Amino acid sequence: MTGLPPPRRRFVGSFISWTERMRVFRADEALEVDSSDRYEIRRRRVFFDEVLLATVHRELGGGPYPWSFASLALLAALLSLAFASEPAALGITLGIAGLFGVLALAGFLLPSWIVTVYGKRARARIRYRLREAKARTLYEEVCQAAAEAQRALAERQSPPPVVEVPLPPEPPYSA
Amino acid sequence: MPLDASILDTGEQRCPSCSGTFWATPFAPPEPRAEAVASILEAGPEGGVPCARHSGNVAVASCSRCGVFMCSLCKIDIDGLELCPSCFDRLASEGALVSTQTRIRDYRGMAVTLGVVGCFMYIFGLITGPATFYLAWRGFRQRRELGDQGGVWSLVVAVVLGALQIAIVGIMIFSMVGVLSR
Repeated sequence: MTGLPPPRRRFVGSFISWTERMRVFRADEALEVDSSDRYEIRRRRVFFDEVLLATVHRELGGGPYPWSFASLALLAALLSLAFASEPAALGITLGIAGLFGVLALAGFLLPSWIVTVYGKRARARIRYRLREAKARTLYEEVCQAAAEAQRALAERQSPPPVVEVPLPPEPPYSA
Repeated sequence: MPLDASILDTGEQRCPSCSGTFWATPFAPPEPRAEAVASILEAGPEGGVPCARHSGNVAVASCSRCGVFMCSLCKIDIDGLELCPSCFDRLASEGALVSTQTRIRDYRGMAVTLGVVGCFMYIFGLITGPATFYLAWRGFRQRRELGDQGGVWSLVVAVVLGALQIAIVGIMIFSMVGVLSR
């Protein structure tokens, strides 16, 4: 039993916020959402036959990275005050602050595209920075898979058509 | 406020709270319906064999693991197997069924964390470095066992950080030996 090959799944993207870190995989019948606290992975599944809503939207400056870069830029700028009397060290720290500042600015200004899939019991979110085409491809793929799975489920659950079976002819009664 | 899927149309929409544009596709999944179970009385004595647990029901399959006859109430389709409830419970509790695993040790995350933390605690590099290697090796194995694609780079980074820790301690020991021998 244990030697069986596991179901194949494909990594489709991740969503990192201040509170959670999710990696999303596409399996045959569901999107698998692995949220990790760096010690344990908790897995939830958004089954395609239970999808209620799929959306894609654009967001500016989402996620913790721009704020992290901004904090590092501020830290480097404050550090440069300590080297005010040494031009070489001041240049290096200001350069580092500038680099982090540019990264933070890029993070705040460049758009990211977020695909959200709402299931009955779980939700999957994937963020694509600057990759609108990839987000839309996944959105269409999920919509298609959900429509197919729900159509198949409806067909499976529909009652079989009632077939009129012709009755055998009346036996000839003899008086 | 969560969006109400029932009021949404398919296609481009405007968010009522932030006025931002988004694209949505609402679905109406069919509700699960109870399936009729064939009765042994209806099927007749030659119409089928009875289920091992429900003697009144016709068996529709036999368990892939123990071979017991099961009706459609007992049959559990999972990971390409048809299991009876007992075998399902046993295999699920042993962690042998991939689809039932919802809590998994994150070796990749632990390897990267120990790799980064170990670089700051480089005095313990001879302990944290090999431990990072071990966790990264378990991460590679877990990735193969779960059939995951992606996530290789973070494991490679963990290996590099583990090697860096050992290298730092090695340089420290080498310099100390050099100083002491002088």
